[in-house]
Amino acid sequence: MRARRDPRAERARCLVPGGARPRLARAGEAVVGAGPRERAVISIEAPAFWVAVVVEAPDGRLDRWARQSVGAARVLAGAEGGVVALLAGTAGGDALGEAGADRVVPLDGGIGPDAMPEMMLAALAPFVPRHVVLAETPAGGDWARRLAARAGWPIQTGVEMLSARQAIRPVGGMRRERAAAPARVLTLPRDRVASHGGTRREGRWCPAPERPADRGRMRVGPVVTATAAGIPLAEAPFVMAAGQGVVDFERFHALSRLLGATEGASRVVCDAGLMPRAAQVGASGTVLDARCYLAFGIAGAPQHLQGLGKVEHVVAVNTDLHAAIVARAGLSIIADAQAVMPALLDLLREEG
Amino acid sequence: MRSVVLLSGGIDPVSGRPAPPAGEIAAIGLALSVGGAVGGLHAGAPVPALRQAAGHGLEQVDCLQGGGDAVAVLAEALFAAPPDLVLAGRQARGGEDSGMLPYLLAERLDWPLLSGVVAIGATAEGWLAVTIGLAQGARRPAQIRLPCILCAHDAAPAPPFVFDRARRAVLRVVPVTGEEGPGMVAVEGTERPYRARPRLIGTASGGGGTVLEHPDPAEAARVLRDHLRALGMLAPPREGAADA
Amino acid sequence: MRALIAGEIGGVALAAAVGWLVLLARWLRGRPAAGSWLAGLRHVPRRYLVDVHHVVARRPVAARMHALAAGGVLGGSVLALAAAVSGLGWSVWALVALAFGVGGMGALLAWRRRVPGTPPALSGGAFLWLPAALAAWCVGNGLAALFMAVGAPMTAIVGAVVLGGAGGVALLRLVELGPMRHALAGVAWLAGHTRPGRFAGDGRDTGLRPLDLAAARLGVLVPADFPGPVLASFDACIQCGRCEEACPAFAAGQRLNPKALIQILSGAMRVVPPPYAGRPAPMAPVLLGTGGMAQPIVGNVLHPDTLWACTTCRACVEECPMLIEHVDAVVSLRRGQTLMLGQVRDGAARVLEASRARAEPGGRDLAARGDALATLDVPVLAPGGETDILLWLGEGAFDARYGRTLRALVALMRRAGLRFATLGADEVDCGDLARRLGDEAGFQSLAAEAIAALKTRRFAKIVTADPHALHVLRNEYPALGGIWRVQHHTGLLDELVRDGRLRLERREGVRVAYHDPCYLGRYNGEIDAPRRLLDASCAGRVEMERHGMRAMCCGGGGGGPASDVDAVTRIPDLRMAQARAVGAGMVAVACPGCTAMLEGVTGPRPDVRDVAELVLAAVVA
Ligand SMILES: Cc1cc2nc3c(=O)[nH]c(=O)nc-3n(C[C@H](O)[C@H](O)[C@H](O)COP(=O)(O)OP(=O)(O)OC[C@H]3O[C@@H](n4cnc5c(N)ncnc54)[C@H](O)[C@@H]3O)c2cc1C
Ligand code: SF4
Ligand code: SF4
Repeated sequence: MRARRDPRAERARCLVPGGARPRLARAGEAVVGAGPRERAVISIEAPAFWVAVVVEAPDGRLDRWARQSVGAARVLAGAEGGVVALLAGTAGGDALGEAGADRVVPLDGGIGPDAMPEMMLAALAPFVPRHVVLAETPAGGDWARRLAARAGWPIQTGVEMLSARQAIRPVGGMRRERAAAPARVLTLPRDRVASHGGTRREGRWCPAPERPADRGRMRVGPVVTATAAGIPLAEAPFVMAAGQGVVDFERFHALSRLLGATEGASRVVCDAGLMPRAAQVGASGTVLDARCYLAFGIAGAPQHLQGLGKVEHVVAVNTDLHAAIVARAGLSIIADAQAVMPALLDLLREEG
Repeated sequence: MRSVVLLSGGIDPVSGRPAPPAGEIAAIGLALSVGGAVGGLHAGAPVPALRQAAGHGLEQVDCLQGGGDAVAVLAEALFAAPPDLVLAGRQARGGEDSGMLPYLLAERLDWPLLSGVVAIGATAEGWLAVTIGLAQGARRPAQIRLPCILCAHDAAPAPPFVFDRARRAVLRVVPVTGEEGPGMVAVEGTERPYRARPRLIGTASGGGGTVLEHPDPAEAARVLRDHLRALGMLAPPREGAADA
Repeated sequence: MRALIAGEIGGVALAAAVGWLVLLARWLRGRPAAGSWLAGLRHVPRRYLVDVHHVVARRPVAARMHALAAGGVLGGSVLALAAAVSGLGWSVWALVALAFGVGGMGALLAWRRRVPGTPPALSGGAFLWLPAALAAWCVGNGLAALFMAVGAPMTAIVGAVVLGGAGGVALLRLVELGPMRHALAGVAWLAGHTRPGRFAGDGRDTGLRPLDLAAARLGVLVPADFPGPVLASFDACIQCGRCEEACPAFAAGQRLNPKALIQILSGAMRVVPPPYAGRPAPMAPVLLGTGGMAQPIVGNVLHPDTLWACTTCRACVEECPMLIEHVDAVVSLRRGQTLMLGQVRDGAARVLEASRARAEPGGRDLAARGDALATLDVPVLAPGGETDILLWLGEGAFDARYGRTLRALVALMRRAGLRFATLGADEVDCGDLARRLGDEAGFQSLAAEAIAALKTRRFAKIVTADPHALHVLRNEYPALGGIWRVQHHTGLLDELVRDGRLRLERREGVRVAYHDPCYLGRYNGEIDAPRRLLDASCAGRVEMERHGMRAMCCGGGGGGPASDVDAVTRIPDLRMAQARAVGAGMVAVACPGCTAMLEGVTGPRPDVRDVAELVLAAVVA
């Protein structure tokens, strides 16, 4: 972790030599250390108001969604406001500055959900934020609602479009939407608001709030991650599937283990009993929510492609350049699956 | 053990027809898995979606009719005859759809709440063991003191719909006197038909369909590996590994 | 002597009558028959001699055997009794002997069917004893009659009567064991047949009957839930295996053999059913549960997969000489599983849920149904509107491939100058899938909505390219109050060509084999119009071995694809192989389901085109 900065020294550097006027001043905002080599950092001392964002980084990494929620907080903060990130996890302070946070308050990650609102309120108290943004993840969504319920704050969940003056969210069973001024608490689905693309912010660390007393009403154990093979197909992030073009199932299984991918299959393969019915991808099988779909020897029949509705990246290995899956894939390798699978196995084993 | 499942009525997002939300069906499944008496509770008039929900395993749904704030009305009913367990879906479908109701209820009753529950285990000395489902198949064991509120994970096993149960289910109207409580904090705004907006495109997208024709297997493997790595599907290689 | 013969034959006849009453008592524990069962008895001779023999006669060897055996045994026995009681002269006895001789020939033919080697679709076991028992009865009694005619010594007559009596006892035993039961149960079944429409008018009665959704027990869970005559129909099965040979699910190795199914249902009524010596359903473990009129059927004596494998293609019904209604039995059982227990396969549960929540089994937005026709500007008929033809798009419209067919149809209708419109987003699913999957409640609610939508518009007829919708709208909605003239698109196009409103010029090309959709052919008897159209548009039409009323199913009906029952091969693969076997380079279809199933056949294969597409390609100015 980076050493904490000395705010006084930084503030001194921001001033134009000989005067009390900040360099490149925009309403209390200043560019810090914009030397020719160094990247610019905006530091803000006393913004007109604060917008808070609660960020999850369980494995020390800020994922896209987390960055997007900081980006949303930045949208709400506009030019005048500052963004304070409440960090539940272990990401480095500069990662949050990069993402757009002016301040970072670490939250005790080990605390159970029951005490979370108290702790958030304690962390927020010095800032009196106008808004609190959370990602609509299982945990984030839960904390947001606990917070709103405890504090009696209005909340807008699942905001799909956000500006400083307006938040739009679906209501009435996704058939209507309501545009309103952003509420005190907002939750954000994935990929709705862009992450912060502007100059990096200071991301200054602030002291952690005191840990509230546990109410003794619930005990939450450690997270048990599923093995690739154990993830339900519909939830799996990485699916590797076999079609009629696969005959070497031994290597197929070995490769999926090595890649940490969940196995899927086309209907024909399931019909033939080569893979269990539960592995069937498509209209009459499972509709995937994967980030990546690696298809070996799958033609890409319409009923099959229906199962790829939400998949971000499709990779195909197929002998036929004109197979429909090739048109859907980001990367297609026109080759025999029986040759590519062992080669990839060897390569990955070599890497160890 | 007496469980109450909170039912919102609900409409289907595609058709706008009455249909119970998946989470509420999952909640019924969890309640049935606990055993004991299971009833449905709805703040409002009896609507068709309730009968459909009941088809998944409820004999009776009490409809608290008479207006007022849903949280206040439900809290009063639950306070009057406290069950051991209250179950709800992740969020209703057809109204505010914010998923706040169970939280406000928990706050009001001062009961503990856990959400994302995929399975319920045994009870011991007033504590109930549950399993919480997280993204990508991850699970988390937890214990919670009874009485409590549990929000079901949408993916918790759904009990089958049985028409015979649906037609037999009793939708009992319980008149209540409306109380305007502080419960749901309304957000004012303008409402209009939903407009689907495209999501932001992922940054690491595989590009515009790269096609590699007839590479030799080793090259194909390398390209695949690098691509999967760029997508973040494959961990970076260990230090000093061959063929970097 | 006459008393002896009368006693022997009369005794056996009496025992048979008692046996019949015992069976009847069991059948009567089922639900009451719809009409008067007793009154139906007067129809039996005609139904037996005309309708049963119409089916039996498709297999000349079997027909000859049956005519001789049944005719000889029945005729001989009746005449012998008459002769013995009335004391008529030698000429009558000679006639009796002749009749029994004929019966004996039948016994010989029955023996020849199984020797050497029983064909796989026929049952063994007790059936192997049937020829001998028949022979003993015929030879014994025939000789006795002959001896009476010629006045032979008493000992000879007694000996012959003893032989005949032994045969009679054996036949009675075979009633119990199954092989002869069909004779008794068949009478009851023909009297109380649940589809009297099969014996009247055009002889077609294929629509499912609506279920009273207020009844305590919906569908069938235990044998007693079947109507009495249906229970008799199970006992009437002669195990000829014709259904088994026709069944696509059986051919594909799914856990369904219609003959075994009927035998299981017959056995389900009994605590100790007689052993079954035919082929079982493929891969199905034998369930050893104890039967009984109030014992559950599915999961106890019947494997659930058996139920969900059926494509409701009616091939078995078409072949069954006992006129048994397999599909009705399957759907009744499915209704029990679906409505009373919610026990359906996962894929089926999904489509049923979507049908409930979205009025569309695929869960798609009803407003998107017309998307395939978006470029063609087909008018949407608003409530209160009027047009000539209401075009019912059906579920296939959501599929991009089938959109091509619909566009071809619309282009042809335009060319012929027809005035037509669709229901737009007011077209809900017709309910076919829900109904076949046993969800009668879902069906009735969809049907009510569809009928209401249709009733608010005025039109001369409904045209659809989907035979499943055709069947439901034409044959099943009338019982719910929706009566319209409904036409399949091939029927319409055929009419247009005949009237000269479309002129076709044959195109040379590959050989085209027409695949009859079950719901157009067997369910509606329409097998000629598509063929006429193809003959007018393509040069080389060929017939697959199984075609017309006896065509093989593509595997797409009855919720088969949604239920996804395990199989050894896929039904459409089998059907495609049959097309290849006659050298077809193209398979012509007339149904969205068949299109999807046959196009799903992988690897190089004949092209699949809808008749409408081929007609459009052949149309000239
Ligand atoms: C009602 C209905 C519902 C259906 N639902 C589904 C569904 O949910 N899911 C589903 O998957 N299907 C479904 N299907 C089936 C679908 O239509 C296709 O038949 C099926 O998806 C094809 O599977 P496939 O791609 O594995 O086989 P094929 O079509 O045979 O394709 C094999 C592919 O592998 C390639 N190939 C061959 N050899 C090699 C090799 N050595 N190396 C690399 N590539 C090779 C070929 O070029 C070809 O593209 C459904 C069909 C129907 C009618
Ligand atoms: S059900 Fe009909 S066709 Fe099948 S074996 Fe029995 S009698 Fe023959
Ligand atoms: S209807 Fe068709 S699939 Fe069903 S049992 Fe009869 S032949 Fe087999």
